Amino acid sequence: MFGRYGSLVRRNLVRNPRRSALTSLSLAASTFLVVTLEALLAHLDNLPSAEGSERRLVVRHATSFMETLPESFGPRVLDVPGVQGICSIVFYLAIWRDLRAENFFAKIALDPDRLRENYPETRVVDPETGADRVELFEDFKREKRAASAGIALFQKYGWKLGDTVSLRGVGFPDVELTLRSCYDGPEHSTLFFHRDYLDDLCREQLPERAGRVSFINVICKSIDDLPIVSAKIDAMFANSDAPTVTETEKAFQAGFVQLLGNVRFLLRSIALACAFAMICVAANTLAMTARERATDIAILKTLGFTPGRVLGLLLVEVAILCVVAAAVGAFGAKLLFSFEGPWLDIGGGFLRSFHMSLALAFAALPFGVLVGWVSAIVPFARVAYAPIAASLRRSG
Amino acid sequence: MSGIPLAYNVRNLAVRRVSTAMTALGVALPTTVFCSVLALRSGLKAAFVRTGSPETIVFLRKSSMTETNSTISRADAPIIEALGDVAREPESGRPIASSELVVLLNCRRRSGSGSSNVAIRGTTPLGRGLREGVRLLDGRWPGVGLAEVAVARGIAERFEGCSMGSRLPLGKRDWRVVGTFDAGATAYGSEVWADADTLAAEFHRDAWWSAVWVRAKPGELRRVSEWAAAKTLDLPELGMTPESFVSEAGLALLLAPSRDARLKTLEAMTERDYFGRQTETASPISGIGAFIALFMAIGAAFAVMNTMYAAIAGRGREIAVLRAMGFRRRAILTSFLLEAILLAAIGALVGALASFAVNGVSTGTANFASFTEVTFAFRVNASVIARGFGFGLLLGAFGGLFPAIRAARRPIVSAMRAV
Repeated sequence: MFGRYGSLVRRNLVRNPRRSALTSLSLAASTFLVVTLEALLAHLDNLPSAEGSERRLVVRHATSFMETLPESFGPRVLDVPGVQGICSIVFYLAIWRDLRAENFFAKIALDPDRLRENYPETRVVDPETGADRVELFEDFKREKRAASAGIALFQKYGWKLGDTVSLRGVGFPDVELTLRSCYDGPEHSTLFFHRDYLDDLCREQLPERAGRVSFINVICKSIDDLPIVSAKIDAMFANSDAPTVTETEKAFQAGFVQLLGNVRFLLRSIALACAFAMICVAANTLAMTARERATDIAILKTLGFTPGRVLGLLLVEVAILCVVAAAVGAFGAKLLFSFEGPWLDIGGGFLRSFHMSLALAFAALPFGVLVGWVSAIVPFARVAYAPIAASLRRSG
Repeated sequence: MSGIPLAYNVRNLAVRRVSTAMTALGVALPTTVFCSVLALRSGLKAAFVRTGSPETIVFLRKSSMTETNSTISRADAPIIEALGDVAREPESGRPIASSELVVLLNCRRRSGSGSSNVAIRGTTPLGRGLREGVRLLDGRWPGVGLAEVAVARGIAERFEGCSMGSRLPLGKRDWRVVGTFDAGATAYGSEVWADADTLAAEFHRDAWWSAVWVRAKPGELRRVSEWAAAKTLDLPELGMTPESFVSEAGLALLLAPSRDARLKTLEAMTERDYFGRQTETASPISGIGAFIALFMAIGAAFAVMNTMYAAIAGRGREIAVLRAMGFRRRAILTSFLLEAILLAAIGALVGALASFAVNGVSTGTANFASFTEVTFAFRVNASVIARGFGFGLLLGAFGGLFPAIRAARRPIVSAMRAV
């Protein structure tokens, strides 16, 4: 490796193993954070979406998504030319067990007949083995109080098919559901149940909630139709009791993320602070290394090495150190986030299906090298270009 | 001999100025981030906890947590108002009560970070009187029966279309902004106020309100638990905070839903408890922030370790001389540990003070109990600075421990021999 000077570079790298290790770990921690923050930003920009999500629209109340729509809007939307299918959804606010973040998951009441059409990318599976079990879906459809939950919920809470899940409604009636089906897909931590059941309870206990839906998912026939379809839907309801806003699924999801506030700025500035801390740490250790090596370098130059070549060798050494550090940090993050640990609860449900892309981990490697070089260039150039006599004299 | 003088460490840090500065900066950055997270939390908390008088009681639908999720039948409002423990206006004898409606409006932030839900409160003149900290800054309150709103200053500054004279698209009409108000650092500072009946008509809420707010008759304030003891009440079934203060009339109102069969679908709590409870679910942001500060701290601890190892390696002879002079291993260990802490202290101080840059910066995030925007200002106070500084010192101690142990363990002879 590295031509004739391979062994020189290699020996220098392990010359002070503790320092190399500590520098690497410190850089690795910073890289870990920088990639995590970048992955977070990417995740929030691009929440996992269903197959064919580019053909999907969401109809909500124009005032805000907390206002509800009459259920009669669903069939009317279905009649709009260019609409292939619709699914009216109630975003059921409820508490399972308690208010702790780890016990939070989304609960959605809908028409089970429309569930699979609405989420075509999901598979009905056995909660224990993850193998396909299409027949479970029929069990779910047949029974009014049945629920279908994502496989992640089954695993996390140790649920089994047939278990009862009691939910305490927040501004909704309480429901008692029986787990009958399990699904897996890009999104796998939502609980679905029958809107009929919820609506019956509402009629008895909270009539003002009955016959209302939170939003309507719309699947269009073609992506080209989206602007026309959404304009038609909004025009249709403009003078109704509930004027609507129809937006793409992406825009709708982005609306949720925007509630968090200026997260982008917050995360970016922290990532910047991390990168800056990384440079400080690297510059400090590399300056120590440079001082220590002054004699060696003077001797190399006496032997005929040009300052440029010496500097080149030092930069190769730094690059190796930084690539290793960046790889530890970046792939460490990738590995950590491929497990579904408690950290996914931190973001209040936003991070449930958080995954880091491999591409991002690889992108961290050149970033690490860049940080290394930025911090190395001044101290190393100084020793590489110092007069031989001065360097030798200083070391005594 | 006892300890090595601290001056020895100070001078050593001073000699390696650049290295000290770089490492200190490495400690300063995580400290700043940590302090900012704490400042965010304390600012958010203040926005809720400072809200509320113990004499104001709110009636909500049972287990709805916030007004946005709550529905109270219009028929229940007069029952609540007629309760004997509700205070009355001295001249008119009218009960001091306000049936209110909260609607969320999706508005665009001026900062360009998208939109959020602003709470529009339909209230009444009596309702405005219930919130003592709120005062009109400019213009006037919305007129009865008119499509007008008054906007909290924080919302007017941060959202498009919310400043004086603008029009808010609410329901099917545009509502004119006719006033701005100041609500101090309370939750009302994140709201827009309209006339209750006009708002209800616009949104076809002819059958129900979100909440009914009342003032309890004044009286001596005691803890709920003290009242319960005095009156031999069974506390657990009350479902209220035992340590909150209420008057005797207030307690009776809190108990009304469990005593009066007509109100059994409702629950009552003091205004202070109502907002206090919302801090728990308030923001996922602070969780993410704490996670970040932790990882930055790990990185910085390694940096401190590195610097201290280098310092010790370069001072092998000095250490041996100190030992030869009679300083014990323990003294060496303490001395180097102190040096690391001192080094971190410089960084921690700089980092903690740097967090003053965010002090008072006002921003907003969603309250995930009600899905509404909460305007708050970062609050850097003594406790934030102290905890941030402590965080930095801890980081230094952790980073300095292993190098210090190593320094203390080195045999004198070999250390003397080393160049």
